[in-house]
Amino acid sequence: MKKKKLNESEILEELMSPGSWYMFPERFVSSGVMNPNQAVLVAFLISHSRRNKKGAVSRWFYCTTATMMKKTYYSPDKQQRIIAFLKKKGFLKTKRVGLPPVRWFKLNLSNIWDAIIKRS
Amino acid sequence: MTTNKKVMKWFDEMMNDKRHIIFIRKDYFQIAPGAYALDLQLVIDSYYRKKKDANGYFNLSYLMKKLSIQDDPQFKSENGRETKRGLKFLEQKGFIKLNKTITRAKLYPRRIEKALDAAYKALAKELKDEKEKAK
Repeated sequence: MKKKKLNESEILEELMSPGSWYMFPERFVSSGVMNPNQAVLVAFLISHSRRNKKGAVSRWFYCTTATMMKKTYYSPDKQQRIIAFLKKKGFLKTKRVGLPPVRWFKLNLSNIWDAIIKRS
Repeated sequence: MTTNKKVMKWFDEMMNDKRHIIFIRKDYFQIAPGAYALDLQLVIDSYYRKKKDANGYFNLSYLMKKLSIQDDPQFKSENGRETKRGLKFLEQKGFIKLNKTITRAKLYPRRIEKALDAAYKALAKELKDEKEKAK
């Protein structure tokens, strides 16, 4: 896998970010809709979708396998399995764009909402 | 109100309701991948919330409640199985020690700190090497 070269500010951000947190809604797991692995990935994607644009969750955004691996430490196979499950449930849409292809995601909040409300 | 607005309102409320949000430190993912980081965060939260006995063990009921497995002491459900796997992983790494029934745990904060330091050092070295290679 080709590694992306980081610039100074990215290195600093990488090294100086011990105080940064992922917000993980308890209901993702407590409703029984997703298992902890799937819920963690959804929480990561929500956080990732909001970068640079606050509040913009329901939009297309890209996230490569390498980025996801660097942030969550899920192997590419595991990522694939979890994304396939989330796609099957209708929680997100994916597409591959460009050459080399890059993974784009769009979260479907209304489906997540439906699933959680139905269960609780 | 349209369905989309309703959903967005629900989502904002859910994300702003701090009582039902678990904050996971991003750097825990470096020492415990994926959902194991969630388990580690919840064990650490329990460590600060629960009383410790003479041997340093504390109750894991907070973690069980947050992961909705308080009615599943045998860890038979899917969430239960995942959680048990996560706790065993943390024990294997030496961050915690569990009792036989996995109801109580002992935390080793220094070991976590050491592992985090090592992970940061490795990352810094990797970045430095990459930078030198680029030159």
